[in-house]
Amino acid sequence: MTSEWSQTLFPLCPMCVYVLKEGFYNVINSRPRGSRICTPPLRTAVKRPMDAARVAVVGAGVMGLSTALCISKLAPRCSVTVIADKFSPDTMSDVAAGILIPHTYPDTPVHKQKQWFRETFDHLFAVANSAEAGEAGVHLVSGWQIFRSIPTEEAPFWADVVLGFRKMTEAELRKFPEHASGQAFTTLKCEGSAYLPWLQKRVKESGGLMVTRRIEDLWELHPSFDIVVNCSGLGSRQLAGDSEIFPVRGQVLKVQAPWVKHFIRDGSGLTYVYPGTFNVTLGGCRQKGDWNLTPDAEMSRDILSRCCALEPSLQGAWDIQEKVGLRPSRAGVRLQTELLARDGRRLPVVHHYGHGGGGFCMHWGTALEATRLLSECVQTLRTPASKSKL
Amino acid sequence: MTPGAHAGTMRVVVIGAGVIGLSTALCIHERYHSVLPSLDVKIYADCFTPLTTTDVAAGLWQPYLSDPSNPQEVHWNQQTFDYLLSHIHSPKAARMGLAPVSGYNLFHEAVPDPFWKDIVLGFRKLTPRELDMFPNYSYGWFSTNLILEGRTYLQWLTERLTERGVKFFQRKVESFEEVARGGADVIINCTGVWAGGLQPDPLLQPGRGQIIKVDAPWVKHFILTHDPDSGIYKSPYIIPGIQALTLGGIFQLGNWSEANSIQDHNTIWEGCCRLEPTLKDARIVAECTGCRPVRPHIRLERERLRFGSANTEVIHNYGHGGYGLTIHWGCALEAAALFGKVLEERKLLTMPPSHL
Repeated sequence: MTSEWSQTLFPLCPMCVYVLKEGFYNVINSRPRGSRICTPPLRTAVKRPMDAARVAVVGAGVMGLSTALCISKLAPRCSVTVIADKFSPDTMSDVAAGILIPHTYPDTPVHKQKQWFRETFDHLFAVANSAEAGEAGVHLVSGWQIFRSIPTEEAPFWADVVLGFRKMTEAELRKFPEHASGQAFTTLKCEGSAYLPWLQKRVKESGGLMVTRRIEDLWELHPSFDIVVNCSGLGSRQLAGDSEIFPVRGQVLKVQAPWVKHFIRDGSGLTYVYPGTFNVTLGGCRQKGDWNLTPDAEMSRDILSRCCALEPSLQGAWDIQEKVGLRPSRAGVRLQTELLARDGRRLPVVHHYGHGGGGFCMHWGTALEATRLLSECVQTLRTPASKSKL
Repeated sequence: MTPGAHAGTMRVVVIGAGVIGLSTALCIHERYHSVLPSLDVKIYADCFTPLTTTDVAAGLWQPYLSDPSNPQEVHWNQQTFDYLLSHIHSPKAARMGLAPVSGYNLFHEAVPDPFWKDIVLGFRKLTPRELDMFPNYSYGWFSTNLILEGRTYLQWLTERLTERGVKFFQRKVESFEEVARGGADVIINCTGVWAGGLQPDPLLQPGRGQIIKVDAPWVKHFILTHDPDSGIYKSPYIIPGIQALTLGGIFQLGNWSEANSIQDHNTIWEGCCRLEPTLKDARIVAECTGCRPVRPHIRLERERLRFGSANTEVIHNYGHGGYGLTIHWGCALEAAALFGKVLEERKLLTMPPSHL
């Protein structure tokens, strides 16, 4: 589905990573399958024609930036401007550990979640195996997800997307005496603090602009822009009048413990140890409806204590920093076009938000879908007489 | 002065302060100090950390692929792994230089499973998607092993020994006789690749290795490649340490040079970058060379030497090749057992030997 679509809109994939079944598009080297990131093509030097659709992407977290990149590479003749009040390192995405272990969205069909996860995994897998990995902050990491009881399902929907998924052996479980079963696998970690600047750089190389500005109302973007892509996360409560999105507060500790090479995640998702390039993320908590961005000292002590119970060597961790993020949570990801109309003016908006704690896991898949929706908007704008898909 | 002049004295001199020397000293002291209060252990060495061969080692726990010629070595490897594994839950693991690490062993064709497949954790074959990451290889294993960083572990061992009152002396020992006449009752010979200087050993040869240490904290897995035509350690390998990543792939039998070679640097760098393209921008932090003490099997045995009117027991413990860290504790236990026999023979034990 992905490959068909990309051939329709943009035959060459110069930047993005599509692992196509039959072959691959990689103009730079001949590495078969598991493709690579190529350097940007000459397209970046080409001026946009006068009838380019002017796209404003609101939000510069992982959704805003990845959607901006997909649009600039895949949607025909669009100019992209990313507008946000916060850029890395001040976004929610910078707090997230960025480990690719999906949560589930109750309102989204499982096959869709699997598709988004697979697209994201394949994209990041190629980055992780390329020369860009260090700069992009993307790398492989192996580890264990452990359960205090035996889980009912045999394997989660994403078991065949990650690498080497299997049940833990008895010998491995001895490391976790309070847990009865577990899964061992290799997945990816994608660190906001490196990945976001890397995305920004790629967007700028493609001619995209970054603007720091707080948007209070999407109509502010009219008439300067033809289409708005709304990646404002929790900001959509105001910008889209969406009362279904709410924060789930997460507190983490980012510590120095460079000897920790494996992730450990308790099946409940509340306690986890995620080693990254620059630090190890220890978490966490899920406080529904809590907007408080100030770290709570008692929670920090609790997190450290729970993580040390799983990995006692963490008692030697140093340079402990507390961070808080608010997961932009919703029963389902909102991927939808809305045509705003007011006093005879029209403003198409592609909504792309509401990923909760699963943002990094799904971001590339949903960004591709948002770009598809955007391309449909662009088509509609260019053929006003045709029936609108909106 | 004749050795053993004081009734009940037991003066032990360990020659060598690499992983073998220090771990053997610690093992003997731990086991016998409480039953033999007169036990006095000293360490003589001409070099200490960070200048020993152990300091150059990447520190990955993994024996060679082929079965050892001495089946006892299988047991010693297992004992070492179990001993280290029992420490990974401890808060002091990182201070020992110890941590679990997972990774890949890569081959050009299918090979039989190694003898240590059930010692490491989670041993399995690689899946096709995993092999896609390594275009030049078509078969491999994934396992969870351990890292025991040489330098950090030696520092930790030094601290433990110092706490126990073991004294260190910087000196170049020219002969066993010199140490015996100095008052030693038992000499533990842990002189590694230089053992031939104390007693000729045609089976012992240097296996020169060179490594590059880089800063690449995003690499969390070891990657060892194997080429049956080249031989062990001659094919590129990448091993994460606590702070730095070790790149290697050099094994030159008979080469005593301890100087870094530019040619070897290029071999390592090109081989490892081909294996792991993400290394392209990694910063080099150090480069070093060491000579592995290569021998067809480890020399771990007693020898009674006579100097003047007294017998001096020598316990040899050298020749661990490229798997010293991997096998060290099992060998230390064996050396301690041999030492126990010496004590029995000299009727120095106040407790029955089975207590130990």
